[in-house]
Amino acid sequence: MKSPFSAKDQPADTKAEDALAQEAEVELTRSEKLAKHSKKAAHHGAEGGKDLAGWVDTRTNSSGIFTAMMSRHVPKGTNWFYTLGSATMFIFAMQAITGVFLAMYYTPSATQAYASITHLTNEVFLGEFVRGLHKWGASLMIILIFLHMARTFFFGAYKYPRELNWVIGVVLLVLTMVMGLTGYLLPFDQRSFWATIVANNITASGPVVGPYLADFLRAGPDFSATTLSRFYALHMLVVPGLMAALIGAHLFLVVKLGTTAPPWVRMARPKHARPTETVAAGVATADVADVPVADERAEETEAPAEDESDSGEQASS
Amino acid sequence: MNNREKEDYLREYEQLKKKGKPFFPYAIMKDSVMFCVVAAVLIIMSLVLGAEQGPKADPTTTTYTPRPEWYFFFLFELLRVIKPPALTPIATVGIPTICMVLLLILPFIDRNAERIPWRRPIASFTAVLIIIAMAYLTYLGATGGSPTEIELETNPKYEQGKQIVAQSGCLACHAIGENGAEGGLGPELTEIGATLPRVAIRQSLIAGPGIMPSFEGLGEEDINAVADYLASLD
Amino acid sequence: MSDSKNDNPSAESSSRTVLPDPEPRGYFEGESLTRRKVFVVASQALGGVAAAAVVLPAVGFALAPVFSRGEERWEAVGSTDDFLPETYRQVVLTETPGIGEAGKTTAYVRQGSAKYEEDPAEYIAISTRCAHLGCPVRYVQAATNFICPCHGGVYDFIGKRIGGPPVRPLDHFQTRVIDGNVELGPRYSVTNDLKAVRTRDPGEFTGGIWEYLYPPRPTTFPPPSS
Repeated sequence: MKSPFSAKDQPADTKAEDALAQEAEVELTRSEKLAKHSKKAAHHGAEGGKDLAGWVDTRTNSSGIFTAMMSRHVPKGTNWFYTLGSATMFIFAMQAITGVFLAMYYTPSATQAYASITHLTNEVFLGEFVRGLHKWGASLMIILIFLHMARTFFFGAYKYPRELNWVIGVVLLVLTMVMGLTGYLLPFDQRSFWATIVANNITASGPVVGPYLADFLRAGPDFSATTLSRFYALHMLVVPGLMAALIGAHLFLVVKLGTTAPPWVRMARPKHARPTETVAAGVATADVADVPVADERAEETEAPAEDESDSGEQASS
Repeated sequence: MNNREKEDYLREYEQLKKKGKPFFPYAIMKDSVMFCVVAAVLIIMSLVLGAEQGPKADPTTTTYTPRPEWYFFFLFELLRVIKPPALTPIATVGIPTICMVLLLILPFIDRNAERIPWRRPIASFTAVLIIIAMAYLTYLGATGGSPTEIELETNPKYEQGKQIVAQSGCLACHAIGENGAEGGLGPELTEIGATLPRVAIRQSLIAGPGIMPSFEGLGEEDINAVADYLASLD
Repeated sequence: MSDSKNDNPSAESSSRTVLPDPEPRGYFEGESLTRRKVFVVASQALGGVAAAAVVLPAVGFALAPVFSRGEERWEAVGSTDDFLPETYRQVVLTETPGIGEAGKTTAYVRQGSAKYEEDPAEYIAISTRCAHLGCPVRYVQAATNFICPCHGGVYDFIGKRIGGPPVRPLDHFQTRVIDGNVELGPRYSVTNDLKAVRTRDPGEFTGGIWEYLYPPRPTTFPPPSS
């Protein structure tokens, strides 16, 4: 009973019971929840004052959040395509970690950057390996983020109610590209330098604000003494900070709204309710759909358990 | 998507969710396997491909051919494909900005309730088209050589003319084999020898017909070498 | 369960239309509307002031370089005898001092040529940065052309665009002759008829309607008066 997952007082034997318990929890009113919580807290205090998790929990009430995150159900039919998002996040974390260590050896100065990279790559223990992880991690992250986006697109997962999460995701894609671009300059070899010049001039060719934006990025009309430090600050602090915040928001919405099921995984319906599916397909008109919807509601309140049990066997993928 | 469709979706989703498994440990398990795969790929890439350091940045160079990282090849190629100067700002900022804005507001454009990819053919078709276009541009960007290089095999006796052609900027407007401006301002020269006699080629080089500049500045000897080389292409 | 969920919103919305506004959130007894308003406004204003006090100087600090111009530098690149009217010679000059190699750039310099109605006492210095996106162009004597290796821009002998995507001719450097030495000064851009204008970044037009999309920047020098 010490792990945070044992918030419910008895371990659920079967999945069905588990689901029931969840339902029950949803139905609890706010006051009931609070009462339950204080009871749990008291329980912790009495039994395990030395239990660290319990101690923290009585003071922060964090096990509720943790449980909600971890034991939330992912819908039926969830497959391997759903790991692309977390894989992207994993790569982001790897980039953050390797980046922090690279920063320990790197000098963001136009005169010393190249030499510091040479030193880091050739002389530091595992230097080339860690730099390789960071360099190829960028490519991998771009690939994964595009695959994740493709999955979201083809599964229609950007539709109601997840529109905002799509928007956040696109902003994250842009920021990832910005990371690629700002990170590029740092090794200060020919490729970095000229890619940065071109990228800066692309910025400058934007109408009206472009020229000023380019001057801001370069800290002057040409590549200047502080251009490299500007890119370094953007690459190290500004963009990753923004990305971390947005990834937080992205995850929050994922937990709150739930991950989608693949669109072809459907609950089996009683036969007369079929038309609603075609309505969802945008084929039938609203008038036709009116009656079956009402029917279905009645059906559901009567026998939801039956409906679920047979569909579960039919469409397990 | 009208309100009923929204309700329908939420209701069905609620049921699917009830039938699903808890995130921990079932979904986490898949995620963790994926993490391991990603980490393994990353480590292998780092070990095999390493992190080579290029030559030091040199702003005074006049011989370096800048190329971006592979994931910007499609943008790079877009800039090469769009030739007329009046359209340059459209290639640099116009198209990328429009694409990004469209991507950003996609959920508000596509409000169809249908989610199955093959039942929303327009959206799926557009997406596939965009993916193919990006892949193709990336491929072109990756294989596009420097405009001062011709890969077409030639008889060694025309080597001098080939070098002059490569170094004189012909490929900015013309295509020769895999190199140069495919669909550029000038006609393709890969098989020019089959359609134009050497005399006509030489005359064009000196006179500069139409928008083509005169290459008289090359000098008698070089013009002859170029004409010999181009006439040999058939 | 889902039934009750679906019914609730409609019930609520209908009741909302009938009933007057409920008390504001967090209302406590004895609270007056003016008192609340004062506190709302004051808390927002004070927060704003505190944030602005810190953020504005920081932003100004980061933006400062956009509004300041460096010193005008002139650099001797060789004696007048070094440069001929028919061909260009590469010279390296420092554009940004203090950052070693990274602050240097290359220019192509020649003497004014009668063929192009130029004064032989003048010297012409052309920047190596392509007017498309700033790649390093190379001068090819054989073709008397400048070629850009990035996106295939081509310029003729006097730096005018003859092919590819560049939007204007190559930039020039100001030149002067002092004690028999050719000196190069600030860079400036030119229009399609080689008229001097304020320095633009590559990719920005110097003529046509597009020109008005690129306002002058405080970081650049005014064009030479001639």
